[in-house]
Order: sequence, then structure tokens, then C-alpha cells
Amino acid sequence: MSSIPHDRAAAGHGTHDDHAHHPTGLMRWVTTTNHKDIGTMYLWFSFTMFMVGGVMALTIRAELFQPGLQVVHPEFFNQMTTLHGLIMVFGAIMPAAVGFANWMIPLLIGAPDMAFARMNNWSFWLLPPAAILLVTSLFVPGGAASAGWTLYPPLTIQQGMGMDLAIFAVHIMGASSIMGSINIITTILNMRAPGMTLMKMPLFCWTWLITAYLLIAVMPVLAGAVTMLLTDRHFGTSFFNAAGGGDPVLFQHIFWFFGHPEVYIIILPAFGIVSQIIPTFARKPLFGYASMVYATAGIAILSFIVWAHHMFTVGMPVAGVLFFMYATMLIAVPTGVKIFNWLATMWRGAMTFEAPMMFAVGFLFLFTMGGFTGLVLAIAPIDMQLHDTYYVVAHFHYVMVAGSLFAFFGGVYYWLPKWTGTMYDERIAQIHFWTSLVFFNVAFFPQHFLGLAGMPRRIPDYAQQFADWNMVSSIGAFGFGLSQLLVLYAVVKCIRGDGAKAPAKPWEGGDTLEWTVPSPAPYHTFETPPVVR
Amino acid sequence: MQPQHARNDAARLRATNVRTALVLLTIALVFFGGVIAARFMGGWTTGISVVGFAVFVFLAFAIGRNLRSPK
Ligand SMILES: [Cu+2]
Repeated sequence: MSSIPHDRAAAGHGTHDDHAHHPTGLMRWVTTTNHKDIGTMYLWFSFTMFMVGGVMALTIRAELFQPGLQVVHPEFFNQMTTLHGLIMVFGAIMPAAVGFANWMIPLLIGAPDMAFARMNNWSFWLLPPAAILLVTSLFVPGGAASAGWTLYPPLTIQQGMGMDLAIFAVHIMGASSIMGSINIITTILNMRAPGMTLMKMPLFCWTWLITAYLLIAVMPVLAGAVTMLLTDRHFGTSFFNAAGGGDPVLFQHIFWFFGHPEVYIIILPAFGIVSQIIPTFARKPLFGYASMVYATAGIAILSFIVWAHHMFTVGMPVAGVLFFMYATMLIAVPTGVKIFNWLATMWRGAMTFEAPMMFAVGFLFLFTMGGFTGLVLAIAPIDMQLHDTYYVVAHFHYVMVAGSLFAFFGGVYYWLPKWTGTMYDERIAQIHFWTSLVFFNVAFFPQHFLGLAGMPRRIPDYAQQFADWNMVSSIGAFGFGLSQLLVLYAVVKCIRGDGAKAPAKPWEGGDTLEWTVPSPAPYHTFETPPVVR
Repeated sequence: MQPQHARNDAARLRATNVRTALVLLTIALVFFGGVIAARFMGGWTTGISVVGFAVFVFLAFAIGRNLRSPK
């Protein structure tokens, strides 16, 4: 911080007196417009939802521990799979990414705060009501939505009021995401410190900028789709209701026009975090910065023309199948560029393997596996066999959990010293990494075998032949779930100040702006913009 | 007190931010309305027309603004 001139600090004091006595206690969090407070709330909200969705996942795995029905009713099982998907996607992973964006983007580009601080508060506080709607829908007559997170009609037109609550929750979370995205784009475009050109921005800002554009393009499409579901249910329209001349398959097209870019909305911020971590711990600049930016943009553009690979079994003209198959395979090219660049960054670097780097390297291995099974699933004739089997479940958990979630854990350990001013406990973090890595693979690798053998997803019972690997998978899932208490312990330890005091720059190789401010980062930073050469 | 130029800077930044936000919000609303309109009036041509019309209006606005106030 000492290198940053303070000539305007005195002049700025008079207008900032409202900052000096902000409310304390609960009201601080309700009324805050500070990007760091809001980032913290997003991250805690996300972790809470991760636990709620995790309990649902463990309910599913408990039922699937043995063939036959033991633990829950089939109807409840379907509610669990649906809510687990909705909560993990909209409640856990996306808010975690927004939390990182809130905390780090202003610090990384040298801005004092987000562009729209009050809207920022609003976009966060929309989320808890949406989460409450989803969770309490379990207790309404007929139970929660149970048609799968993809909300396909005609089932979704027929179900009870739990479905209305889910639709309403999706509306609210969509509005929150759109507001968040507008805020992030505006901040990045208009509030960068002098000298911070777009092509000098840390890659996390780039990946989030592109993610935010994706969100603005596709969240309204999802909102439109569920609005039409709602009017079909209650206002006599027949958008998707075949009985009234509607077309249920059209919903699938619209949903996946949102759904496939959504995959990149989930993974691009994770790419950004990994792109911050790897150069720091390899003590080398990121290899191929410009190609990283172009690859990210390329992935985003391609994501709009591949959606029907989720619908090969629905039936479509051969030309359509071929188009969507080849377009999907094409995504491997920019993704491959990124993987290559990360490896090249590490090549002959002076590497150390603290927890953030461990998670980044774990991400590299496992995300690449998830990417490869995606390539397998893109091949239309193979997809016909594997559609709706556990192979698909294994594939997207490698992308979402070992991809996004691992990168987010890496990001948490990477920036915890900056957030709390205390170094995290390296031993706990390493145990967290290894238990997560091992149990994740125990839980999800066997699901490839189950899928290849033909076990269908979203069914509470299964044939005897699948029993062994399901038992293994369930054991892995419970181990993975329990391991996550370690990250909670590590974070709480940091917040309580139980650990070594963190210097401004705890990582030798860190060369981005957040390491120029003290740890913990002061409540207000960069009120006088830093000058980037 | 803040010097005059600093206050002007803040006001200009605020205006720029609001303008960016409005453009982005419009895109979101067009996609939301477009997908429903396309289905309501039938056919993908409606959807393409809605988006095309929005792009046209947006361009007209963007060019028009610069015609009025040349830099
Ligand atoms: Cu897809």
C-alpha cells in the first residue's frame, strides 16, 4: 500500500463520513453496501446451501446404498434429486462465484467498490428468500418439485404447489444473477484503475466478465421458460401443454439454450481462480495470457450452439445431430488451449504445493477427466446408449465438483489470509484436500461403470448387478461430505484469528493488486486509485 | 469538501455506469420478452425478428447519440 499515493485521501474525507459510523451487529449485514461484506455474505450463503444440498445428496446415496427401498419413499427420493440439483447449481455454486467476484474484482482492478453498491446489497438479499422457498416447498401438500432440476413438462405442468414455489425461486434467483452480472460488467468496464487496460486485467476478471455476459443472455431465457410453465399451469395457456396443442419438446430446447451456457457460467469463474493460483505458486507469469482470454471467449460463444446435445434421444434430423455433435466436440479446442497454458505455466516453474496449488492441480486432473467424458457423451451414437444413465451423473459431477468446487476451495485458501488477516492451518487444508480428492473419486468414479452397465439415473431402486459399486459410491459420498467439515473448521479458525498473522503478501509469487493492501484487507480500499504501470 | 473536479468525475462515472447498466438490462429484457413472444406468436421467425429489431433500435440509438454530440 505504501507505493500508492495518498494525495487525494484528505480531500476525500468529507464525503466519506457516512462510512465512518456504519451500523454494527446484524444491521451491518442487512444494510451493508460494502463489496467485501457482501462477498462474505455470498460465500457464507453458498456454504450453507452446500451443506443443505449435501444432506440431500447423502439422502440419495443412503437410499442407493443397497438395492430395494430402505430409507425414503420414491416420491421423496425424486424431490431430493430435484432440489439437490437446483440448490447446488443456483444456491451453492453460482453464489460462491459471485462471492469471489464481489470480494476480489474491485481489489484486482483497483476499484473502491462495485459500481452499484446498493443494488449489490439487493441482489444478495434476494437469495435467502429464494432458498427458503425451495426448502419449505418440501412441506407443502404434494411435497417439493420432483421432476428433476431441468423442470421438463409435462410432469412440471401436472405437479402440485411445490412446483410453483420452485418456479418462483428460479425467478428470484435469476433476477439476482442478472443484477449481479450487470454490476460486475459495469464495474469491470468503467471502474478499472488508471493504467489497468483490459488486456492487463487478472484473468479472474476476464473470466467473470465473460460469465456475466453469458448470464445476461441466458438467465432471461430460463426465466421466460419457467414463466411459460407457470402460465400453462395456472392461466390456461398451452405453450408446452400437448393437450392444448403445445410442444413439450420445445421446453427442452429453451431450457438447454440456457442450460449449456450455464455449465460455462459455473466453470469459467473457476478457470479464472485457477489462472490466479497456478502462476502464483509456479512463480511464473501465466503462459499465453491473450490466448487464455480468446479461449474463454471462444468457449462462451460456442456454448450457444451446442444445446441439443442434451436431446439426442428426443429425436431430430440427422443433420441436426451431426451439427450439435461436431459443435460440441469443437469446445475441446479452446478448453485444450487452457489446459495446455496451465501446464506450460507450471513447466520449469519454481513450484510449491500449498493447499491452493493442490486444489488447482487436483482441478486440472479431475476437470480434464470430466471434460473427456463430456467428449465421449458428445458422440451421438454413444450418447444414445448412455443418456440418462449414471455415466452422465459421473461426468457432470467431475465437472461441477472436482472442477468448480475444487477451484473454489483453492480460491478460499488462496485468499483467506487476505480476507481474515490470519494464515489458514496448512495441515488441515492438506488433509481436506486429500480426503476430498480420495472420497470424491471413490464416490463418482464407480458411477462411470454403473452408467456403462446401464444403471438409470433418478431411480431409487436398481437391479442386483449394480449393488457393489453403488455401495462403494455411497461410502465415498459420505466420506466426501464429512471431509467438508474440515474447510469449515479451517475458515472458522482463521476468522477467530487462531493462526499465524498474515502479511500483506503471504504468497511469494503473488503479483496482483490485492497483495498491495494490508491483510486483512481494510474495509475501504483503493479510494485513491492505484496507478498500474 | 471535495474539489469540484473530483465531484464532476464522480458524477460522470455515475452517469456512465447507469448507461452501461441500462444497455445490459435492455438485453436481458429483450431475451426474456423475445423467448415468450416467439412462442406466443409461434415460430422461431418471431424470436429472430424480436432480437433483430432490438439490435436495430440499439444501433439507431447508439449512432443517433453520437450524431447529436460529436466528440
Ligand atoms: Cu451441454
